[in-house]
Amino acid sequence: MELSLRHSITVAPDIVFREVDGEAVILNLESGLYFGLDQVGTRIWQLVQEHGSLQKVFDAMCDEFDVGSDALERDLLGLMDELCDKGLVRASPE
Amino acid sequence: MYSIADYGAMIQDTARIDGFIRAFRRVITPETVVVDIGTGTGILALLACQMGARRVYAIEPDESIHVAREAAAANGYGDRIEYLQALSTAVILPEQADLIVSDIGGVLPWLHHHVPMIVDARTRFLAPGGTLIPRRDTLWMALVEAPDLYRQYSEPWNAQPYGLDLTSARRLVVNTWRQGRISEEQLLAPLARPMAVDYADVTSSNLDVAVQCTVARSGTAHGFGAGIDRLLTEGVGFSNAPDRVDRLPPDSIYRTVFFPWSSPVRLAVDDVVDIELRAVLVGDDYVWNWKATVLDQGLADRVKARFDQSTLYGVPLSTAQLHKRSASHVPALNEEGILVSFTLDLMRISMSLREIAGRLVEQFPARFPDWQRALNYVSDVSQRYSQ
Repeated sequence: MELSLRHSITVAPDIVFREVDGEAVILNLESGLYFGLDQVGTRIWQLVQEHGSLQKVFDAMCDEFDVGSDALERDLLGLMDELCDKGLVRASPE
Repeated sequence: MYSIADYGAMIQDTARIDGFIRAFRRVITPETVVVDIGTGTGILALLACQMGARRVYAIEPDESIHVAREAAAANGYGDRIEYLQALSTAVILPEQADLIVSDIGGVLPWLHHHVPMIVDARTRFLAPGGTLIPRRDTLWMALVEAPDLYRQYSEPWNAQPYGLDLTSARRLVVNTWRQGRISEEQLLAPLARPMAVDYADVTSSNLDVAVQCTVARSGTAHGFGAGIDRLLTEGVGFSNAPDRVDRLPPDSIYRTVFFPWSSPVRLAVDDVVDIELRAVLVGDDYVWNWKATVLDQGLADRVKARFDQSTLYGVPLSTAQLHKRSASHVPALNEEGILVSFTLDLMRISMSLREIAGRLVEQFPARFPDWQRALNYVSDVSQRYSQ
């Protein structure tokens, strides 16, 4: 499935998320694997938990960060792809 | 790893030892071959011999095995017990066993590699039709009012000792479980027994259970307790459950476990509490997660409290440590890693400890200003990694 901003994201049920000093580690309880997020990734994760909708996450990120919209969309969808592959989030069309 | 004093406490736990003796009497014959996994100072291997076992393979990675070997000689069993200093997963036995005995699970079965080790031993060591002692551990869970146990989680951090705000530590400590005795008077709802680990067919190392408790007595819930009913062999076992009249005495080594909530909750009769408990083996130890939803009179739209806790939240961590645990992290050796690596490289080319220590002094003069310190270090590495 090709992700777009018209997708909605939910955090997988078997996840433990721990944040320290703005960065985070996510533990997938199913696989026992840890996944690290930098400060921007951690902020995206928080917004995903808050909004679900990738479009809303994208809009919030545009407001918060001084970054071109093409680059932001590419990075956001890239991170979501990676998180989906690792079973940390699930995507569905809105 | 246990100390010799810890093993002494295990031997002094007469309810435990009596249970194993009764179980041995039922299954051991003069033809029985026994594997004792985690023999420690050897009590179960010795008892198996006393009950007439033909041969015992006593496996223990720790140095305590030398104490066990001396005890075997002192009791005239030196020729019947073969001691193997290794993890059981690294041992190859010359014959299959009729009985595998172990007691390496701690207060709950989900401790380090206990379950995978039993699965491995069952697969590789046990003869068809053989017996495992213990045979089954049944998990019990109970909603409890435990102000004394909970005080350890709250008072040191909430009371502002010396006028200092220490509440940041409290956020961590309520995400750790600890051992403590739970009595029947502390129960707020009947015990639940959501699952059992049957060692004859267990395959999963992890725990994932959910229970629903309906409050039977009003009070303040501080969390929930857990423990095991242990079946050693048919008709022989013991339990630390508060609802069992034959429960283990207070001084037993099988203590109950208390999982605290982030804050206490006042409960009324017929309130409903849904509890989920998970333990996932990550690396060498388990990450424990416990969730609870407290519903006023069981009504889904009247949530009194909701908790989502994890031992992952209970460990002081820095950002650097978080990164080190991430699968995407590309590690670089720290100073200690460089030293171990350097030492192991020299051990690979059959150099003596004396010579390796000399090289360490040359290469790392700041860390090892003299040869004796280097030799102490190399000796420790040798004890840990050499054959």
